[in-house]
Amino acid sequence: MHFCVDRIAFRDALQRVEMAIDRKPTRPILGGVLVQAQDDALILLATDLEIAVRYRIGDVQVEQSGWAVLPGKELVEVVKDVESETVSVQLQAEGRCRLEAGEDQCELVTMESSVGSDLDLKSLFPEVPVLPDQASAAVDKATFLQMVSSTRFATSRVQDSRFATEGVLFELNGSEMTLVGTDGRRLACIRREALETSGDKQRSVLLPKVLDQILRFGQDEAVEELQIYFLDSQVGFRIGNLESFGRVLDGEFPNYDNVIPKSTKHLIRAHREGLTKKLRLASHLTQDASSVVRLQISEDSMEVSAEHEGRGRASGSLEVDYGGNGITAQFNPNYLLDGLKVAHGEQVELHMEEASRPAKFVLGEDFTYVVMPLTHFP
Amino acid sequence: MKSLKKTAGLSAWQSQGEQDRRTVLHVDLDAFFVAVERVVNPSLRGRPVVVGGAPEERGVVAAASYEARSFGIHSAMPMAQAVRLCPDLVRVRGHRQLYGRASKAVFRVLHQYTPVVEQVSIDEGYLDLTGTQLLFGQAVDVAERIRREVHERLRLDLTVGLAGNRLVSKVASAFAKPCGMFDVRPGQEASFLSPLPVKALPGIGPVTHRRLLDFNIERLGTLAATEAWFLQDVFGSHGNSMRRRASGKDDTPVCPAWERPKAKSIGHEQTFSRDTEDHAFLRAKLQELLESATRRLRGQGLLTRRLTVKLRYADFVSETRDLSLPVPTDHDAELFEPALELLRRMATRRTLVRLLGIRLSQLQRGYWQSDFWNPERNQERRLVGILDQLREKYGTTSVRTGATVKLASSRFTSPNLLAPPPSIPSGKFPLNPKFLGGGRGFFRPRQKPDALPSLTQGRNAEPAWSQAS
Repeated sequence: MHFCVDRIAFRDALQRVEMAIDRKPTRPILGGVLVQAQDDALILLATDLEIAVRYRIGDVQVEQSGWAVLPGKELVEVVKDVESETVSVQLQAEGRCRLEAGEDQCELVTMESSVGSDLDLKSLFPEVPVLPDQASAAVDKATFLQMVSSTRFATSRVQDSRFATEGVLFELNGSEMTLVGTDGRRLACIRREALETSGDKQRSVLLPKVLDQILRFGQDEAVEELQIYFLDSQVGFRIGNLESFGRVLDGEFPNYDNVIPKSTKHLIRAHREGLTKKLRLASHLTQDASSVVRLQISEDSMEVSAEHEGRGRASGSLEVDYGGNGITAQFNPNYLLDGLKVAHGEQVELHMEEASRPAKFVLGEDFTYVVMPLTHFP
Repeated sequence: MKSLKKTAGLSAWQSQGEQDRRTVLHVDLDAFFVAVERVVNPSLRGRPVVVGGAPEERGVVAAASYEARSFGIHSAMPMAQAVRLCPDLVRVRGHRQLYGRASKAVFRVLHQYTPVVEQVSIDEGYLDLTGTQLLFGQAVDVAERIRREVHERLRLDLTVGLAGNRLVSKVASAFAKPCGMFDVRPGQEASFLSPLPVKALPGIGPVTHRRLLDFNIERLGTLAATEAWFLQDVFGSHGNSMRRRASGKDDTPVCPAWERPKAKSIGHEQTFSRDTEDHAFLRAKLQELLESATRRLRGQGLLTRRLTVKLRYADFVSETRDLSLPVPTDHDAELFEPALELLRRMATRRTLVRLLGIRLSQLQRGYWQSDFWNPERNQERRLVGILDQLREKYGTTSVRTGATVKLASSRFTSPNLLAPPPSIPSGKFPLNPKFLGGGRGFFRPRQKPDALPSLTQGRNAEPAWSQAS
């Protein structure tokens, strides 16, 4: 294998696959990046068996085709730090790989390579599916990334023994896509139309890591469309040259529809930024570990207040659009702020039944966020 | 130093000498439990009385009257031994709630004289009287007034130690017991402590005491005069502080409840009157211990994140297991299942169980929050709050949850395995099942404890929505 590649393109490509390099590999090969050079293109692939990322760089000057698995962390860092326009990579004998970048040079020990190995690549590196031509769904990239960022934050940080709530539920029904994230105390649900679908009904719980990956790097790909592939036990995303795969979480996802309140007794419309400011103000005076803010809603105004035993109290009020006879409820301000951060419009709606029942925020078109209030019992 | 700052506002009226001098009062109720029992039942006066459990139930002496103490009986002594020492001993089973009420009444009196009152136990506390002279006069007079007031209004005897710091005031009150007062004048601390035996100093336990005797240090005066490097070598850093304290120096502030750091953990444990292997009994006990621990937790407005279960077998082998909860809680129902699971994992030996305990730690302030999946928990939590109020008003056992109802029955106080199984008479129940909403099949035979309906029923059941999907 011998090729010459633009350093910036190579560095960016390596950064995209970096997330899939296993930090504490159970098998040494999982800590490596597979570099394949053929037909004027370079394909990088890394996997930790949870997620896999494949990235293709075109227009590469390939002198000799071949492949090598190089130590991932070292390769990423070295290419980041060498100073030159291009990098030339050449496999040497005795399992060495030489990187030349202007004045800088580096020799990496290959984990496996096409030189001096009779074994097939398939038996050495975990197999990552090749995406078929026909996708399960094609969606507008910006729309999908917005859907992901609107739900990903609400997922559970700890593993629940009963539900797979550490992942995001992805439902495909006709051309309607639904993403749901929840940790049992708040739930974000967003619905959008796909551009094109294969018509099958799909329902899987996606690993948050793969979503983080496409959220971070999807934006940079110069394409408008994102393809989604439902494979056996994986879901694949293709955004231009980037292909990300994530394991589907087994385990049940709770029936989210039962959680979303259907009726409304109190409807409050508030300015998103105003509410955020007041919440942030009050949250400075909540107890460290457990924060509680009180929303006291009376006709046309909402008072947001919090009290820290021993430090003091803070409150602020803002104008709201409300016609009822008042309600007071308590919330974790972080939950509310998280939701407001990803809200789409300038206006948010709050639907409430009673102070101890889940409150529904409408943060955009077909974007609901349900938060369980905190109840003080005598 | 801290309390000096606190009274800085008054310093303008005080002379320099007074400013430097703190006045700390240590207050200790004499034979408190017995004294309360004597108020309720005057016939106990003048007789050797102890409060505690029955000797056949492994009871220990919780408190002994001075008449009983003259027989060599002291608290924490096994009741059986106490009865041997004094055959005429009158034993009274304790009334915790009564003592709690009496204690509250006493501390209400103390709070009239200064806001800086630190209650260290049910019958003991410190008062910082620094700067109250203008209001109430000399500290000695205040001490005497408090003693008289408590005696006249509550018929309880107090011993009071008065000194310039906490440490000396405590030694002084121990010195003045029973029913007395001792005032250590400023500057006299060292000479007051000097002739006393070293074990009179709080903080010197049996091990340190033995060690000091090894070096022929018997009196506090000797300890105070011992070279610092010597004590440092023998006792480490503890040695130096011990020497300082032996000469009557101490600047620990009196911390009223609102300034004291919150409890780090809340625990309850119980040694059974008879060792048991009855799982239904252990389960019920676990629930009962958990209920009382969470009740204290809720009383302080705290939530817990860590749960520890402790088990001691008849051969004194002890085991503990703990786990962290994903979200902080103060709700019995959310803690019981994990606690039971810990117990199940731990109780693997085929040995009788002697003690069961539960501890809640990693406490934090906050409100309990329910999750979406168990909407019924909200109702349950409300119920738990109401039960707390009922118990506050009418006593801990005034209302019981289903799982612990059987504990009220004497038949269920850990079965004696050697005795033939008791026959359960029908129709004679400790509580009318109707009150608890049971009625039908409420008190089933022991082999099916799981079938008992409980107030927290439905906890184990799958939530309705999951069955639908």
